[in-house]
Amino acid sequence: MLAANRRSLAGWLVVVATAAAAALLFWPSAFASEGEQELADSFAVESYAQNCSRCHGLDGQGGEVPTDGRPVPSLRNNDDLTVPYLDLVLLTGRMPPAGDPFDNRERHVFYDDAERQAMVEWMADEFDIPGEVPEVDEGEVSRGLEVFARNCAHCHGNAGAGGTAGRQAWTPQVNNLPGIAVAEAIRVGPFEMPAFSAEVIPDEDVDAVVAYLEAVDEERGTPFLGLVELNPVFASGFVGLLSLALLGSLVYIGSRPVRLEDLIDEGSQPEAGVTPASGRRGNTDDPDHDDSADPDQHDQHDEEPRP
Amino acid sequence: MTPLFSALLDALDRRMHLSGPTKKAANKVFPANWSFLLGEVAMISFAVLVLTGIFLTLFFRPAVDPVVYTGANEFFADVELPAAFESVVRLSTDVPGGLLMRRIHRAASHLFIASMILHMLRILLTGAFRKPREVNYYVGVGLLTMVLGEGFLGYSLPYDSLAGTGIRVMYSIILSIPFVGENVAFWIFGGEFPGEAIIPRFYALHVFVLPLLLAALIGAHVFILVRQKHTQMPRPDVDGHSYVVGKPLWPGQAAESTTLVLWIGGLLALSATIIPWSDVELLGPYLPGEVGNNAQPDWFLFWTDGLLRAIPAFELNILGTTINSLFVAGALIPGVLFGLLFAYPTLERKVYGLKGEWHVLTNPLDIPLRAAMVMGTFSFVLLASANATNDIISRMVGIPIEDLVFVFRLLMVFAPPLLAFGVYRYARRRLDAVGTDVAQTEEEAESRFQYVGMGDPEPLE
Repeated sequence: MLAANRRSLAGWLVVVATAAAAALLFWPSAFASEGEQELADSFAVESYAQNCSRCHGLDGQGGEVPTDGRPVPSLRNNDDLTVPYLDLVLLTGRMPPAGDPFDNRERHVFYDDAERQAMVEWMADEFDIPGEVPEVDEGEVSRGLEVFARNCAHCHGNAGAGGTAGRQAWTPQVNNLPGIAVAEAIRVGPFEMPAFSAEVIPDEDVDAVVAYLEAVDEERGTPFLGLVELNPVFASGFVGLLSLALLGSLVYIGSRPVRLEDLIDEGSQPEAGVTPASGRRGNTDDPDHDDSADPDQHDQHDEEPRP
Repeated sequence: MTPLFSALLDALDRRMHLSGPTKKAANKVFPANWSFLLGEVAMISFAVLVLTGIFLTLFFRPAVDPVVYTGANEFFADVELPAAFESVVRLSTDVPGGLLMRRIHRAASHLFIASMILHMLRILLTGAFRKPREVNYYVGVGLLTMVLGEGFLGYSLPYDSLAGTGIRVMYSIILSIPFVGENVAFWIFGGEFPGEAIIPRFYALHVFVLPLLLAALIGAHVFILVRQKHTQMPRPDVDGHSYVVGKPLWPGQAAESTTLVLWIGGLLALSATIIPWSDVELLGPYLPGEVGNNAQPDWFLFWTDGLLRAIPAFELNILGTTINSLFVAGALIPGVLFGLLFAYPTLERKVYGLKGEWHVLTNPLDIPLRAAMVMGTFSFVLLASANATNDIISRMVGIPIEDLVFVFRLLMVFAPPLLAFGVYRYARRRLDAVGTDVAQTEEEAESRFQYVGMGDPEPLE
């Protein structure tokens, strides 16, 4: 596949993705209209009671997890908690359901966009959580690659495939996240991640990182199967497949009888190579021996004395 | 396909009478066994590497000075990149067919090393290294070490993030050599890491020095093989010690090899369209001082990286020099392993008091020491390799990485000896069950195998 084709495909993908994002942005959400604000609030109240209050308390006062006694942060007067943080935690599936929020491997995301929006708005109101969900603009991909390499790759890996950062801390894969989550995480610094202020990573650089990760996401994979090789471990898996293909080919090529007489109508077996069987007993003496299954019976056959 | 080629070559042969002179010239027959083709696959891969490599050299720029990229890749639009990386991005994005060539080259390198390792396993297990073939075995082990180096150099040349990290690790390993490390490292790199000199030097080694040496050694390997003739699998009806039985080079083996060349070429080209061998454009250039979390060498050096991750950091100050964990993992243990490989043929001969020449392959379970040695070393290398992927395993399984490293340490210390011992005992029992010991001459080994259930042996003519 030509690189040029890939590029144009990527270009189309960008167009389609942008259109889809725009469509989603202006799509009337489930609770969009004025009259449905109440509906959204009641959804949030109910969902909070069902999914959050067991650990965070009905009044958001925090406490501990009933099952294993781990401490649970308060949602009120909590200096660490901002709206972007809350949005990020719901957006990436860290909460709910209650599990280990530090387990950064693939997670099930509980709320869709509209439900999440309803939850965040209601909780921000209810528990006086400050801040706003950030906005992401167009960014420069090439700038994003450099910012990412200098600030993020140590933990998230080049191209953002994720990795390991010490005890029980797996850094999540970030090239498949919604851009908004990336922007929130950079500023908030959730869990083990340090927060990056606007002095360290200015807003346009945040946009650039988002653009870069989206480009990686579109770039990834091959025309078939959409495979990606983000590090040598993936490559070693591919090498395993290649080696299996090789062994299969060899067994197929190297073990097949070559039945010349099936293909040649120019008389019998060629004379070349047929020698008296010195030091070799005729196979016919062996009652268990089936001539037709023995490739060497139909192969040209040579033997040479060893020096 | 092979029957088709056989028919074609055979038809040609009838008209040209080529097999007469060829037989006298080459005087070579090829025993039919699929595993005998592994070495041939390595040779074919080498040819593919040379051809694709020539294409790549036309576009690659072996330097690290900054160049502004102006091609179509949006990741690097108008960005200053090290010249080597810039030229690789240009190859992948802007040169027609460049990405295909890069991927085939990469796939062929993987296949080259994989087929060599499998070939070596076959030689070790079946005992094709025994007298008179020890010299060719040493040539083969030399080839393997050189190819591992060649693979490392090729991995380093694009100067992407992972490549730079790999070079940095190698630099540290060289520094850790007692007494002379610092001088050697400065001599190789022309000063402090990274320096300007290393990529041009690696390039000269990768495209000129090592390929020539490899070609020469492969030539020697094949020449010795032709002189000494093939070994062969034991057959009750063949006196393999005195004769080698198989297809003649022309037209039988020529037909099979033709099939193999086309097959491997197709496999490599196909894999290059399905599998993204080496996506360095996604990783970005090497920025000195920045290390990505996904830093790993290529799979054939996993075991060294696994050792680095497993051995606890320590420093011993003795005799006015320092021995540290880096040296042990990166130089000492690999040295011991390759030393074992070199020493093994002599060891086996001495331990069992083997006599005379050996041309017929044996089941490794008939030689307890051999079974144990292959089992021990290869399980160790595989476990060490697995430890190089511990961060990925940790994510997949959900075990904290520290616990996983602890488990791997235990496994690497205890599993190989236990496995080796278990296999040794099993092989011993197998011999004891029929009341024999390891055969000391080939005649003795063959007499146990030949004419089984076929009445009295006929006198050999």
